[in-house]
Amino acid sequence: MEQRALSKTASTTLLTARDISAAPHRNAEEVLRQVPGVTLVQHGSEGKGHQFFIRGFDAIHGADFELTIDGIPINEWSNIHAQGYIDLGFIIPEVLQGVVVTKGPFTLPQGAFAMAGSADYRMGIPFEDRGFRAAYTLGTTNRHRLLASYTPSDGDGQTFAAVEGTHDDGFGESRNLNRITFNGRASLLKLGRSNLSVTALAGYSEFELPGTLRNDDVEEEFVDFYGTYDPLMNGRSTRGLAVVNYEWKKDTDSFELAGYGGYRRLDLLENFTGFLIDPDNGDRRDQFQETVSFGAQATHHLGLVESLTLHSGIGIRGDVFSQTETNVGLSLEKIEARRELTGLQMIIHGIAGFRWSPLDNLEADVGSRLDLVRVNVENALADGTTGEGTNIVVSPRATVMWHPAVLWRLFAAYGRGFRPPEARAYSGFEPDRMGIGDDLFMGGEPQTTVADAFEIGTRWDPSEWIGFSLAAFATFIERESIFDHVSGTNLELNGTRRLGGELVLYSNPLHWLSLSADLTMVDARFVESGNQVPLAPWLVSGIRAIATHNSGFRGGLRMLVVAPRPLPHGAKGATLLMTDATLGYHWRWLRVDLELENLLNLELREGEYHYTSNWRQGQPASQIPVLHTSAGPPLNARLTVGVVF
Amino acid sequence: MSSIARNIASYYWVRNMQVFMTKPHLKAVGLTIAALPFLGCSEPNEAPRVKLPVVIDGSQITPVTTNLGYDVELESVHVVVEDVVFTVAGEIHTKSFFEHISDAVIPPVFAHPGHYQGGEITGELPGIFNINWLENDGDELGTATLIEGNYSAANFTFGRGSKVQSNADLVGHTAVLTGRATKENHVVSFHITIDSPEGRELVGAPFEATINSQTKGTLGLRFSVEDPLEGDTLFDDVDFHDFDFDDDNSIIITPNREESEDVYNIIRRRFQTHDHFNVHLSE
Repeated sequence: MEQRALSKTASTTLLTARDISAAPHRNAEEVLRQVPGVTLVQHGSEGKGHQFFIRGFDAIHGADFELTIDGIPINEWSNIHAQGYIDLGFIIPEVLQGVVVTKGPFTLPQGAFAMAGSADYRMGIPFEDRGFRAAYTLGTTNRHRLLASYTPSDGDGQTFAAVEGTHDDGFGESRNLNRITFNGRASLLKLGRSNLSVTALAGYSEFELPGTLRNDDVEEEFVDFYGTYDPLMNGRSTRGLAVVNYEWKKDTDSFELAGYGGYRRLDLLENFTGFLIDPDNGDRRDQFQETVSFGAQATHHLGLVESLTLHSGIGIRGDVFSQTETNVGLSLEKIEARRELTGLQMIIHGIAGFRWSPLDNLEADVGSRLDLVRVNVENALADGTTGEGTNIVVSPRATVMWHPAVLWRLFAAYGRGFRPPEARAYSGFEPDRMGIGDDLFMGGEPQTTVADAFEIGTRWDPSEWIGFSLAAFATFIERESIFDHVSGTNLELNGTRRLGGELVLYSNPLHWLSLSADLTMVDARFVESGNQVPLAPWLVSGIRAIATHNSGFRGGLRMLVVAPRPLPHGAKGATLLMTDATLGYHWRWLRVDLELENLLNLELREGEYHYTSNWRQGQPASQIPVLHTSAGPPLNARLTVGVVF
Repeated sequence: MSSIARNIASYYWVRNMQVFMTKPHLKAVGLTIAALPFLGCSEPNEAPRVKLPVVIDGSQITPVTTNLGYDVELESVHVVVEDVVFTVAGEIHTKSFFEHISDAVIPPVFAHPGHYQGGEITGELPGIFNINWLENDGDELGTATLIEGNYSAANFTFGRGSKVQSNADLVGHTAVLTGRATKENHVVSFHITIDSPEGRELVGAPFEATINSQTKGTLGLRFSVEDPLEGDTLFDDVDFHDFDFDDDNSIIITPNREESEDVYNIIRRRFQTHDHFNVHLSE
């Protein structure tokens, strides 16, 4: 999927293997913490997917943020826990050669959920780790991790096998994790300009979940800041993905065909509200999802003349799934089934566009994609009632890059991103309603939500030791279609607009030292009311330093600041300041690396929410929302000792 | 390991760091880094709350004419109400006023802590209240707590009268309505007892108000015989004369009374909708 890297915008971020290794990360998702303007929040534990915030979007678990692995879509379209759910527990971070992050839906390959942007993970063993590698990590949270990988030392890192096993007690309470992961890729056939490869990715994890805590309960010492209300909350996650990829290249022409199949199983037992809804049995909820996925996609780039290349592509992705949600009681007994759905969902897409370079210093990518969304579901809770629907969305995309001078580039981009309705929106589920008149709003038809995004920007690299990128962006959503999980209705939210800018300064003052500082500001508001879009950070800033000296010493320092976030109902969050560091020494075959998280040992309020809960069983519950927090890690360290032959 | 020692002491390193630290942009970066820890000190702020008294407001209990031509005048309205809550419409897109009210019935979403879309409860007056709308007009029920915001609706639960708190007629029942219905100079007195199922909620009573820290006044909990939006009344389709079986110009409509079951169900269904209740802010 080389096109993704070529169609750059001013704000496109490319994380290299060097960047990835320079900052602490427990899993492949946390790599994205290094991307300017992207904020990750973990309101569960390491085994659960993160909550993503980007450019004024609260993308929750991936509803507005597309993630692909070498172009293969990873977002779980209709996951029972959250739409577009991203869980990269089945990816080993050491098997990443880079990540390309496109902020905004500007390039043709960006598919469903890319309303706020996309990240494409590029797999492969980085250069310096090629050969046989083994490593053991010991952490202050009783973390033990074993990693072994192999790729031919004289190869390009694209044929590899890696296995990882992790145990971690986690910080505080209820964050225990056990995980095993395998990633592998083999080239089956390499003939001339053709290459046929197969990739296999698999992971299984069991983990505890601490949930979120009421701030007033923490202040009253009813529960510890790093504690949990319910020590039985837990999850199990399984995912496997197999990809067969065929590539053919000749000069400016190329063809790529990928077919894939996957299996996914997720089981989450959580409780965010205590005894609010059911004062006797509590509000524990067991969510279960099982999905068999399949897909195929083909892209073709045809160079007509030197200045004009045609792009075309077709693809299909589909899921056969079943999902249940059950309220369970204090002894984990079943109280009530709330969801029991099976179905088939598919998206068929077509892409057509061209790259035109009328001048040596001007390049434009223009085109459009058409996505056809089809969903069939059967609702077991409604006597097998079936539902179905079809939606079509056309997404024009255009990027232009102009070099007024050798070291100066100007960019402009427009694109439409979309989010398909989740399968439950077609289920016809209608809970009991009482005391409501005949004028009841029964909800509308499921709709595809679209976002129109614009960006202009520049990159200026006046010298080798300093440069910057500056981008101004705007995103407009006329109506946002959502499925309300409780009322079972399809609702439309008022229109929103997001206006903002991103500044990134970067410097390589020494050949072994890289520095960068970034600032992203966004004003995200509902158009009609003028209210801020809740939860999405309005200001994010980061400073990063990476040192990789020839002597073998290396280190990284990262500081990330998230300004107080606007929360629902006028509440306001705290400033989030995360300070992490790495320090390492690589000598011939020896690798020693130290990761330090939260150097200042602050009580990090990583996730902040405002809703109603009651954790004092038997006491009257207030219905008014209050502040809740999910804690970030305190100061902790991980030491990895490894060898590479 | 001797190579390590050599590198640490390397003149090259020291020299480069000296050059590096003299760059003006790096000084700025350093200052910013130094300032960052101070940004980490802020604490979260809870949403501002406003306290407002809630009073009984009987101003909308006025004589009405039903679709069958009866002039109906209520003489007493006793209702047991529990746990009044107030909701904001949030950012749900509505195309009409009817939708606006109905959207407020959307219950709060607890599927995910990050989920927010409006329709939530952000104000409350907890408690059990025996309300006599006409006799106790203007009496205070208590003080409600509301988060600042644009409110669209109120909800409450229909209760049952207890021996301790209620008059004899209301014990074990949800509501008792008494009054007179007149048609063609023929007057019929009526006594209607209504029992709502346990936990029956009334959702979406109109409450259009912007509440902020400057808001003063009272919240009036109103009952109205006539739906102020559609003009229909609580007693439409009720032919009072038909139920005056003994021609004593007095009728009693109660639950589980076979001869008046149909009309009881009509009245109860209408009574339990949000068409006949609303909350009004009097500043």
